[in-house]
Amino acid sequence: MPEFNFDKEVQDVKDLIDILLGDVMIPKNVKNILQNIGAIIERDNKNVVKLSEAIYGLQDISEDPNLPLNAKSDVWQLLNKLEKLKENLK
Amino acid sequence: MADDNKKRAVVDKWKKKRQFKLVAPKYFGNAEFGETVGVKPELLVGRLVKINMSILTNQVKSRNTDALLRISKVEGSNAQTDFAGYVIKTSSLRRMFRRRTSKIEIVDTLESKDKQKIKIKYVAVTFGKQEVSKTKLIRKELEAYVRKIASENSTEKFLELCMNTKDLFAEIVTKIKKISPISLTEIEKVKVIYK
Repeated sequence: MPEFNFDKEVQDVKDLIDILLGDVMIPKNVKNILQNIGAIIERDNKNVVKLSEAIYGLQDISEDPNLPLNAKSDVWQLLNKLEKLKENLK
Repeated sequence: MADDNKKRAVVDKWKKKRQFKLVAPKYFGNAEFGETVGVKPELLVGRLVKINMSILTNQVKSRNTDALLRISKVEGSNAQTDFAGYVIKTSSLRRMFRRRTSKIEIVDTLESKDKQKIKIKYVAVTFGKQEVSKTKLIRKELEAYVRKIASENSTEKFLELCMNTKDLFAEIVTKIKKISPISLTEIEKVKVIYK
């Protein structure tokens, strides 16, 4: 098992959000939520409550019927990474 | 006939083959990234290996590109590779464009400072549909600019510059703005042509 690197995981989350925000196929309402999550990650990435808030937001997005399938898998990946960060902080 | 074939002893070619470790180029930190098989080390030289860029750079950002690495020399069980270009996945490229825009695609063969030929395919996308006269002008400017950069740099340096597409085109995009604003420039494919 590779060692968990908190800063690297945070950077990966930021990169993934940037990729999703740059995608033209993703609807605006989803992009707004993603922007909020990006801001949370930027400011309070060590706050468990804020991270939980971001996770709940992402769960709502993942059920959006307008989201393309490729973006859906990215959102799941994001969820996975955020859960990892949260578990590490506990 | 069928009996003759049955009698012939079958030699397993796989048993003759050895495993070699693939070592990334200096630009990617000389890290080991995989294995390849071969009978003799000499036969490995010139082999092209395709690998996802995110494995080499350890960044999620570059997951939509595949790096092309060419085995240049074999030392013991290590096969040293050279950076020979990269390809962007079509699925990600398609997501970059929308309707009602002009897409300017350019395919060109460049010559670097060390007289190495490089095949390149790049695209520029405008804001809104543009007239053919304007796209022709943009194409001309872009071609001249990329050719100039290739001729000023060595092959290795040019490929490194290509990795950072935004910075590479930053200068020319501000110049082209007078003709028509550009929303996106991307290099689809770069490949060094070996004889």
